[in-house]
Amino acid sequence: MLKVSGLTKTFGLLTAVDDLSFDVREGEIFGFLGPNGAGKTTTIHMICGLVHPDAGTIELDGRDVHRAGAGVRRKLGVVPQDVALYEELNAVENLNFWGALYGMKKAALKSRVEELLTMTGLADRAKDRVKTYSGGMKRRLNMAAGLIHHPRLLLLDEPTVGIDPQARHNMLQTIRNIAESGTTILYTTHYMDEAEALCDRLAILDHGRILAMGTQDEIQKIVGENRILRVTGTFEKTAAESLPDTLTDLSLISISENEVVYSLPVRHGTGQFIETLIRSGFGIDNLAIREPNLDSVFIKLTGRELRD
Amino acid sequence: MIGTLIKKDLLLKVKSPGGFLLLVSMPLLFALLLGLIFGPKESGETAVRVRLLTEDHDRSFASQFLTGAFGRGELAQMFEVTALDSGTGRAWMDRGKGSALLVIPKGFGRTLLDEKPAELLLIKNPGESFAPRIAEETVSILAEGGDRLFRIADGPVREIRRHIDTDTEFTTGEIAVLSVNIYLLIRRLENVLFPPQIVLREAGVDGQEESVPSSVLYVHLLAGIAIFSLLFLIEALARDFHTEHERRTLHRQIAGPVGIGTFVSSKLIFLWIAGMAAHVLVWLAACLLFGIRIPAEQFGPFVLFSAILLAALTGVIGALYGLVRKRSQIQAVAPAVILFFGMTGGAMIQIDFLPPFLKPMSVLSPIYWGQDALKKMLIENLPPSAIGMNLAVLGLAALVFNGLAMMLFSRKFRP
Ligand SMILES: Nc1ncnc2c1ncn2[C@@H]1O[C@H](COP(=O)(O)OP(=O)(O)OP(=O)(O)O)[C@@H](O)[C@H]1O
Ligand SMILES: [Mg+2]
Repeated sequence: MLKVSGLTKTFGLLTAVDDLSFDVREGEIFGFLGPNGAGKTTTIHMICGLVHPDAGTIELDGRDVHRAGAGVRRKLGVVPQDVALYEELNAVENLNFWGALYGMKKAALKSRVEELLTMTGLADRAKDRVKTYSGGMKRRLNMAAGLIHHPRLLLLDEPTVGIDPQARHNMLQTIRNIAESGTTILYTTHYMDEAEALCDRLAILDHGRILAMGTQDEIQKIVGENRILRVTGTFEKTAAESLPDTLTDLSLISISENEVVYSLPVRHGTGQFIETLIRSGFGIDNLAIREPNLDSVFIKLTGRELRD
Repeated sequence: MIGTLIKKDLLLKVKSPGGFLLLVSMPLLFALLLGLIFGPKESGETAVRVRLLTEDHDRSFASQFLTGAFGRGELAQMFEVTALDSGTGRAWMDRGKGSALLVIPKGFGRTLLDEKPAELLLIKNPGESFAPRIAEETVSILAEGGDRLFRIADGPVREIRRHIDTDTEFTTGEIAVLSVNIYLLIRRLENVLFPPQIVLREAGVDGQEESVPSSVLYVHLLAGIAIFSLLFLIEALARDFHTEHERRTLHRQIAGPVGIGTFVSSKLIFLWIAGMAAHVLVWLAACLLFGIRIPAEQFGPFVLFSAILLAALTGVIGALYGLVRKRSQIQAVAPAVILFFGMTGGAMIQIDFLPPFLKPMSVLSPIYWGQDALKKMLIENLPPSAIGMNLAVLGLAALVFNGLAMMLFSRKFRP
């Protein structure tokens, strides 16, 4: 549906997006996972025509977005990272405006507005000025405005930034519903758990480059399937260091006075590991087992934590 | 689509009309204020010739302006002014050679500049009854006018401030600019007041001519100020250009189906509509308040003129906004440009009284062409051909500046 190839954008000396190629398939939620400054927003801006790429092409249903202009852009719905609404107007007036811009007819617009207000849980505040809304409510309306004209591809730029966990949970559920109703979604985030929870396929982005791309399973395989095991307590340093000798495939990641971190492939299970710990004389205060996830992928690929 | 954009802008204004109404009421407030102070008095005056002797110890701009005022225009018909050397005035009076002697003390101009009430010495000839009193009254009006104006205007100005304070559309900086403008305006207006004053006196003196209706005075007072205020109004509304940019709603529109050209033209049309609404409101209120009458045969020309005038004003402000990029910069530049237009266009000082180096610049100001046309239509009731030149100039300005605005904005907002 969306095909991006060789996309590049530099701002002065900084290459914000560097030879990016990916495609988003009909009906899926495609994730863009990357830390601050990775180039997520710049990429979205190029797709919706706000930033002119230095190189590369963006095709939507086989038509070049920049050359075909507004006609093609109608198929896109954009939910910008910063809330972009008229604060002095209420929710209905805002949605009416954005819908009318796309030439929606009165009756269709009216029912669509009601539908979206219900979906985003704003129905009972629909007549209040947006400036009286909480941050989370504004974000929800911001999303509704991007959906008003039934876009085929929705570009969501970090829609959950700055809202509480409960609201975020609801927002993710809403996004799943949108996808189920047939809208393709390009979702950017710097939350690993969101990408894991939502995305069918994803690209991990850093410094404008794609580090890994594919389904979650495929990406997982890049680093192998290792659990991270963090042991806190009392132990002999030498015993902790020699533990990998007694257990196959166990490897030591870091060690300090009262904490030691290992990694172990998932196929081994953790039972044997715990037995070995006890046999080696560990006094275990706490044992944290982190299942393999995208965070560990990012650490493995860049040497940094995702949230910097 | 343009319709949708404009409707949204109008809706936004309807929802918070504070600033808009305030700016519309400004010119009316001024006209009312000035009209009340300097308006016609009901008393009839006998035809008198006032022989005014003057002794100017100050020789400042202000003093020369004051003495000059008696010798200028219609006042000259009533006053026969003789300027004397310092210290000789008493002798002239003793010989009965004057109705009154006006002594302007040293430091008069300075005092005026300091905004303190200036003192003048007027010695009346006890042998004459009316003439000295006319002299006294005229002098006192000229001298105290500014001072009284200040005191009376103080209330409204503070009131305006209070309104603005509660209106989120204005920042403290803008309030300061506005307040300064108002004070500046009032101070300058002092000078504009002479001509209407003169017109009315002459009516009394002659006794034969029809007395000039007060509405003429108000047209005189209002024409320049109204257009001047329109510029301020349009400038205030044009801030939406920045607001939409800062709030990212502009980007959202452009990411959607809206082209930059569409966006800019919708904004310009919105400014025009809002400006027209303000213009109509001002003159409607002026008709009701001041008894100004738009002659039936002037109705068509007035509408045409208004449309073209507003298009020109919109273009000028639009181009200015396209030219100056940052909000902070435009906040300094726009009032300066508008003040320049007001000054040269006759909104503050009557064009006849402008310093010689400014006078030729009048033609640069849309206010000049606008107020000139208004006076021709509403006071002189001249046929449409009389304002042909005004319409042509304003029309050309409208085309050029709106085109320039479109061009500059397209460049500025292009991705
Ligand atoms: N208009 C611009 N001018 C100069 N540099 C820019 C501009 N827009 C973005 N950049 C730079 O490009 C890089 C990528 O920015 P971008 O906004 O795309 O990151 P992001 O992945 O969206 O980050 P975030 O998670 O913080 O939103 C950053 O280093 C940023 O400073
Ligand atoms: Mg971003």
